[in-house]
Amino acid sequence: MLETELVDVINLISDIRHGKVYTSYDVAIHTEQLIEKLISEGQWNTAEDLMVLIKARINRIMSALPQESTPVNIMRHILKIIRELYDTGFKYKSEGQQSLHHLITSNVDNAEDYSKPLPSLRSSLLDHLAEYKTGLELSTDNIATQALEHIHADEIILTVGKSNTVEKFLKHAAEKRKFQVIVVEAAPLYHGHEMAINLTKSNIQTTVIPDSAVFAMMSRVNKVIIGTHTVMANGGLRAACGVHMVALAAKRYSVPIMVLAHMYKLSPLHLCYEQDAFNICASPADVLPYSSGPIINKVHVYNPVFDYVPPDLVTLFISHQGGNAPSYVYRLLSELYDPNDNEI
Amino acid sequence: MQTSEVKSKFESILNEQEDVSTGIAAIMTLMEVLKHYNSITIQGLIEELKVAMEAMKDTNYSAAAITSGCELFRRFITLGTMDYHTFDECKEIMLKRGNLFLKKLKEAKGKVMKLGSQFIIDGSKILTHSRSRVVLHTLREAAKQNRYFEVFVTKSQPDDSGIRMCKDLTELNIPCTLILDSAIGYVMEEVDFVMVGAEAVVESGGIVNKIGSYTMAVCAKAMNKPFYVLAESFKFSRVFPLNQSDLPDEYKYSPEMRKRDLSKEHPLVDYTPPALITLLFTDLGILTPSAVSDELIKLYL
Amino acid sequence: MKVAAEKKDIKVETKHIQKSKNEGCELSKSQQTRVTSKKSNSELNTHFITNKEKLNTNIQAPSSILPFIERTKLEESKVKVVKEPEKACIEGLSKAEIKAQRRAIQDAQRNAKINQKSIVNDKQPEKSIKKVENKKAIPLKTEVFKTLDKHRVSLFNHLYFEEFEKLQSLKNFTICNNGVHPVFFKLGEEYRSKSILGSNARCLALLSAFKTLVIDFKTPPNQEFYRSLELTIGVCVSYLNKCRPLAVSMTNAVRTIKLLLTQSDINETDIEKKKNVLERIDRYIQDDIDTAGEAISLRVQEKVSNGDVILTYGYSSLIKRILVDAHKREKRFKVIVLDSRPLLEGKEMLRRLVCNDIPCSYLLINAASFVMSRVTKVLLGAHALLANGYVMSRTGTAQVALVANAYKKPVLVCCENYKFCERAQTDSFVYNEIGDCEALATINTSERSTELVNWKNYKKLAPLNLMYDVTPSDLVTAVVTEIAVLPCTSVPVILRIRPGE
Repeated sequence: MLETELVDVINLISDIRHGKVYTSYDVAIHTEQLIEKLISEGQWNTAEDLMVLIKARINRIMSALPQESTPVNIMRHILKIIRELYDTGFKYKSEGQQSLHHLITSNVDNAEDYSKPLPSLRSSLLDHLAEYKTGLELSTDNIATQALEHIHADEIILTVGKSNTVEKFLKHAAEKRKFQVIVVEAAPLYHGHEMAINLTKSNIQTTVIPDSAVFAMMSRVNKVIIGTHTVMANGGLRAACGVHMVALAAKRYSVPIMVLAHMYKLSPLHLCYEQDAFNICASPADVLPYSSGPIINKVHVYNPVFDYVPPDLVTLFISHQGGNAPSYVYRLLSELYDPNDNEI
Repeated sequence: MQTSEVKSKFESILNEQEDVSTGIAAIMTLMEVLKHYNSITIQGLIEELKVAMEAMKDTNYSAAAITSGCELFRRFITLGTMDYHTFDECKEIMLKRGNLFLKKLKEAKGKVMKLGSQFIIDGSKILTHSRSRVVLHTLREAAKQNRYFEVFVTKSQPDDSGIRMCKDLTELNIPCTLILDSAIGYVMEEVDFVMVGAEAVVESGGIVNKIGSYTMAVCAKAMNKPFYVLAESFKFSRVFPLNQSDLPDEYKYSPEMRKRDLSKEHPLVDYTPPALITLLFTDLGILTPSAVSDELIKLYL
Repeated sequence: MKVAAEKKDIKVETKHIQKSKNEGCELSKSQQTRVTSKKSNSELNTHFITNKEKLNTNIQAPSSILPFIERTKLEESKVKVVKEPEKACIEGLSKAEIKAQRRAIQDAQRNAKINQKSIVNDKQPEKSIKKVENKKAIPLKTEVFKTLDKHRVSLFNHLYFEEFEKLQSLKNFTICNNGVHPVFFKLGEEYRSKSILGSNARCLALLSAFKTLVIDFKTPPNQEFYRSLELTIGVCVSYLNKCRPLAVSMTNAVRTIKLLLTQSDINETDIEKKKNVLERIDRYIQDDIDTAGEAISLRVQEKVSNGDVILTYGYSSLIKRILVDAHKREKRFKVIVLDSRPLLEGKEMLRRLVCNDIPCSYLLINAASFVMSRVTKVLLGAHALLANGYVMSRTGTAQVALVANAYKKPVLVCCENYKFCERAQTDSFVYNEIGDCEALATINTSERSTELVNWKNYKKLAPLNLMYDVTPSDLVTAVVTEIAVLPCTSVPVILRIRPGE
């Protein structure tokens, strides 16, 4: 697909790169708007055309921002919605998730033919999309309303860095329960400071500790509540650097870890075990500033952005639908995405 | 079809086609039985298939694989036979769908290969157990993509099939080291991950595989190394072993061994529980062990 | 009387040093009862006074005692108990004068108490309020705010001592104390401002200060050299403890020195005695610190092979020595240095290693999982080794050990014998040191600054800067001392072997 036709995606990519669109929620809203525009104004006639357009955009984003999974996840979900609507429109029994059952009972010889024009597709798609958009906007609040089910009185809760979802979650619980929060600084960006200030403005007793003190404090912590960047298909996390350490300490002291994850953070991709293959490094100046002098010539400095947390360290995922175990993530994935879209 | 014919057909399929899996060979044999079936009742057909299955299990090939393949085919028959008036029509449809089914199953290995080779990155050190066709093909696929990796293979008594695996790998120009079965613990700290095949995947999400797989899984867990299993979907079986002794005898011992005193015999396979397995690569996708029972439930219930 | 006084004094000191900070802070508070200000208008300078002359002249300004008094009744009774031995140490006091002093001080206290009533800071009513608050509804919360300590983490209430925040932030901090040699003033300031960091460094600084003290020491009339020297050492050490709680290495060194003083021959001239003491101090430094370091270095070098990637955390003089020595012996290895706020000691380690041409990498502690798969060995230093085999070290060490364990990498802790301690601890709460909150709030690695610099505006916000943490013994593969390479659980065996406690 020509670059000129992908202008909307290129703008989105550049916004993300320059930090104009920063939080996952913002990225999700922008992506949704992009797709809405594409569906309502784009040049397509059949489901297949539309899917080709979307797939091209997915490819473009994946090649430009391989770690940014939110826009790609949302687009994949849209592809699944398209398939579903198409199938119900033509009354096909959807192929759906591959299973043994389907292997045995299917009559059709695997033909994925989406090229028949379906006139009602555009309007039904836009309806679904509007529904999806409302879901997106409300998802943080939906997660926050579950706070009281998970936090009891006089608890000590640990959280890492800054996450809007966690902040709302804790503030909601603080209206009715009294508890303390320990915020880990999260070097090298120190978002934890901002989080602590926000929490303390809502009258929550907050303590700020540096990354190194996590193990020392963990024995008195009752729960760890964190957000994440992405949830991988095996139930593991791609989270901010330092979260793996926190998870190991929590496992040692048998402290449950709750991860607040929106649906658009669930990715159908699996990770390699090797840290290098999925991580990116940010500027080392945050670790060893330029003012350190000539030593920076002689030393390798790394500033990795992400951390992989294996699924056996996570106790619970909380999404707007409720709590789930990490072993259940594959089920959520099958509801969100079509397996044919995993490899584009 | 006579049991002796069944047996000879089965064995001939396995001898002629090097690369075919035991389960597929069993299904192909059962298709033959279906083709030559003369009566007109479905019930009778199912009886014949059962007899054929027993005949095949009487050979020296893996009973676990044969059982799972045959169960799947039986399910296929029972699910597909609705709404047809004459038996001949039914048989026609079944044969057609059977061929389709078989075709899909043969593609299964290709899908597993593709998924498995993604996880082999440059510089990996892989440990595998005995000789598995699926693992061999996956490694070949990865090598074709010009990745550099090293493989450690266990010799795997009593039939020393690891030696053959090592030879095959060397022919593909993959650096390969043969190790003793008892050296698994020693080698484990160097290795990046473990990749094995399976003779059957059981309902709990665990696997039944050549003896020594359980030891390897326990070692891998102790050293925090991932343990990957490559298995096609027709190996899924409805057994749910609780521990090693709960495995059916016909899986563990060959027919000749069963005639002798079992307490003096060495079992051929062992059971690896799901807690020790990181991921299963199947043609249905990459599954966690907990997803396996979901699949089986969807199929059989 | 002198002997009795000495014994009490020693008890006081050991309480001070070895037991938990609970008593330490009570005592330091008690010493402050004798506070008055030299000039009544200088409120910023706090002066701790033990000498009776100062007390007599300045007793008229009880109002300046106000800021320092936030105590319960319990502590005031302790004050009286402690007073007697302290007074007895001071040279040439007569009983009448002692009584006069005591009366004057009690007057001052009574006045201060009257002034103090407006400050509600009793611990007992606070507890009851808290309990009530838990059962009742929200309206009571506002009352509790007044009584809760601001910016303090309640779990560590036993570790914050009197005027903690003020002490940390004071730029001009002078203590006028006639019993203390001026070299200790300098040392105390260096400890407080964290110019001298690290167990070995602090201990060596202390011992060299002792040597200066011994050289300058004049035996007071009617007293024996060794006894009076011991008492003076006691006074100086308690002063240092106020500036910054003593390290385990320092405590052990002080104890050894005191022991050798009690065991020395008193039938010598003063000059010979001085020479004796100086020699013994030098020998202690040589044997227990220097040679021990060398022995450990040799042992670890056997474990370092070519091509190793060694991970270390923060700054440890011993680890630095080991790495430099190994490099000099032509071993080729790489070092990864992990570091963390707020002290950022790792940078110092990095500088020294780079000066010796050792290839290094530098990361913050949160990237530990990122590098750990490439590491072959982990070398850590220790502040102290506890009797149950746990390792007390800079905050963050336990975490590095935990991640290393998750990746199954061997963890070696290097520690000289003189840092072994009879205390047993299982967590990092009971005995620890709280550092400067301001250091945590300001970020000096980058040009960014966060809102946390205004932490004082928020009552419910408490930055917590722990100095130490405790690593459980199962996370450590081996402990290397000058005697042997041991598993962590054999520490009590070493304690038994060590001569006379």
